[in-house]
Amino acid sequence: MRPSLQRPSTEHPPPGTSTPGPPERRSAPPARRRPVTASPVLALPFLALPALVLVFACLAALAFGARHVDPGTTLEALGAFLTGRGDAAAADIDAAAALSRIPRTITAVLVGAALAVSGVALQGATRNPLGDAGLLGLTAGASLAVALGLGIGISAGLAGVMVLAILGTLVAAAVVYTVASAASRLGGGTGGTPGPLSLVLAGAAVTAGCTAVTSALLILSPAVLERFRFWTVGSVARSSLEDAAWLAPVIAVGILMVFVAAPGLDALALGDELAHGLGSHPERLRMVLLGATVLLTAAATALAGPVVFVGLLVPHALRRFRPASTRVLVLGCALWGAVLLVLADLAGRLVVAPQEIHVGVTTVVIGVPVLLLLLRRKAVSL
Amino acid sequence: MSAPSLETTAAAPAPEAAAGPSPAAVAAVRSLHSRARRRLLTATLCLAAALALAMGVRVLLGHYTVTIPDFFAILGGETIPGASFIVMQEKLPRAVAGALAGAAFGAAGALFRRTLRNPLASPDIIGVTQGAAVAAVTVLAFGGVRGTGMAAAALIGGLVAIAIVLGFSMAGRSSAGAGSGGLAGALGGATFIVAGIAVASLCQAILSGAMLALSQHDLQAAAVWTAGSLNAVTWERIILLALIMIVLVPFAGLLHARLAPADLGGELAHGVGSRPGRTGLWSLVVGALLAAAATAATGPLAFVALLSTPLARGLTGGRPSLPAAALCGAVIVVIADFAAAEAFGGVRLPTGVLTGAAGAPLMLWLLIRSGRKA
Repeated sequence: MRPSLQRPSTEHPPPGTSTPGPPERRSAPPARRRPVTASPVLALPFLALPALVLVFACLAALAFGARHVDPGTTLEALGAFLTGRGDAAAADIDAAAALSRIPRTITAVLVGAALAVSGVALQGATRNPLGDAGLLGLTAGASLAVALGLGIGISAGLAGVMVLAILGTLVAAAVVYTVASAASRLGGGTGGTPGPLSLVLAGAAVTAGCTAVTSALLILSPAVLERFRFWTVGSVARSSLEDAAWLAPVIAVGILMVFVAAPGLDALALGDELAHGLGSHPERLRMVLLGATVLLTAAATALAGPVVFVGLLVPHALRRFRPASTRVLVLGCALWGAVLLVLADLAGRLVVAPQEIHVGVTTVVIGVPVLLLLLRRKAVSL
Repeated sequence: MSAPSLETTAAAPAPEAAAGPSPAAVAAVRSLHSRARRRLLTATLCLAAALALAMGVRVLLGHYTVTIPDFFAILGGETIPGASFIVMQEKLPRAVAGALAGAAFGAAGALFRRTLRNPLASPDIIGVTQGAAVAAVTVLAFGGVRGTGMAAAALIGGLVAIAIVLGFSMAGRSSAGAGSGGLAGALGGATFIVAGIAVASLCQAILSGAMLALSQHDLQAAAVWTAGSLNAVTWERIILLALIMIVLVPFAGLLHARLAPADLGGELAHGVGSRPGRTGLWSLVVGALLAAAATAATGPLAFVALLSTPLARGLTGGRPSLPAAALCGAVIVVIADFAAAEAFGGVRLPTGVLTGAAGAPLMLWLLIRSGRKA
């Protein structure tokens, strides 16, 4: 029931070690499992809690910022917005401040949900506990593709950006997966699935290369820089309602794909042969999951630029609470991912008040200590 | 992997040697040894010549060409209007800083490579250069500290980064049971590298966030600290870097030589009396300091430390050599700086952007190759 946390101990010696002697003993310790008797958390409270938290987080995100708005005005402004009288309400400056925060809050919800669910899918599909669209270089690929498109001048609207982002994500995923499986198949002989270390290293290389080329483009072409500057760091500050409305269905489709495929994740975690034996089709399942990952990552990147570590943090945190089923886990990830990003954006606005820290930075600052702790506790077996 | 050419060629006379050390076999082995040493010497000399050539090109050619007599006249103290300024304040400092920083990165990469026995665990992958850059930017932004203070902060930042990475990977490993725990087990393991990548991305995020927040229009400064660039070098920085290197490089050479048994692998090295843990820790410290000092001068030039060691090993026929790696790093940086400044029309790219873009495919190739060998 805990997919991909404990991979069957396929040993990957660190690449490049030329140890001729007996291989170092690197076996994982016996897994620290919770007692089996602990009953899984019931589905309803598991989902109702984050939904409630999300509502309050969104209200807080609307009310607080460089200018604080009192709750009553916030609710009034929100009501006016929902009933389509937003323009009239904007006459009041407090209400206008709250209204101006609506697009970025909606974007944060969408991006957070998309990235957290893409993390679940990626971790399941690659059987890799370190699955994160940012860590594996996918977001960097999407950014580069969009910057290239803007540089050549082929993308007019959001549709163009989205297509470019999907292309970039696909290419980055293909490169990372090919390199990583070449490195791991030839090394460990564990079959086609690449180990977490080779995936992360390939992802780091792709990220570094894509980031370098992107910043070169930004410097070479001022026109791209103008439109793209905030894209080198993930940010929801400039999001618009039209973009969010356009991409919300894409994200919904991606989450739905993962939701439908979710029961297969448990089978996939057992390895391809066992999954076959259990009557599922690992290849088909993996294609669906990776397709959903590409859609979700590309949509999130098109909306907010590279935001990383959300896909790593949220699923790992939620698995500790033993969700009743993988579908509940997926939905919980979507909700908590949204909460995380809304709060990260809010924190970034409050900490250095008139200025703001972009959400792409905030998530990394939260995410890295968590990753280090996971490594320390051997929750991630490499 | 330490000396493939040596081993493969040595396999040929081995059957005779097994019967007893016949004079012919001894002579063959001896000639192989001296051939390998000669190859190392040749490669080092060639690299030195290449560095001299690259620096010459960097100083003399480009958008503003200087003739050789003029150059020596300027060095001699003569003042030629226009040319003097461009050579002494722009071209020569960039060439010298590039060579010094490249050498420091290369030496740091060689030390890390030998200690960690993993071609991918170089200081620019596991967060040392990024940590140094974060520290330097922090004191620059909040204290207005420059010069020696900034260099000191960068050194501390690099050390802190490696300490964090080590701390987390050691804690992770010590629970892994007997035999592989402790310092020697932590060095170069998978946990170590992933922790390093995490620290590196944390520092990178802090840097780019700080850049966006603190200096809205100062792209030049941003480029120095996020990508690495020689645009901001001054003679003051160069002298500081040179002084730090004069102190550190002898230690680096000593540690690199003392760690030679580590190439045999942990247990064999232990068998011949080497203590990879202690020496390895020192060599990581010295390597981190070298990389951080170079970062203080030029920013975190991506992939220079990572690439110079395998390149140098390729040139020397597989023999690990600190001077060769340092020279390789120097050549890479000087050439990359020249290309970044001249190859893109009127726009000057930060040097680190070029090394990053060129280095990524090479790192992927290294990854595939190391997977094949492991």
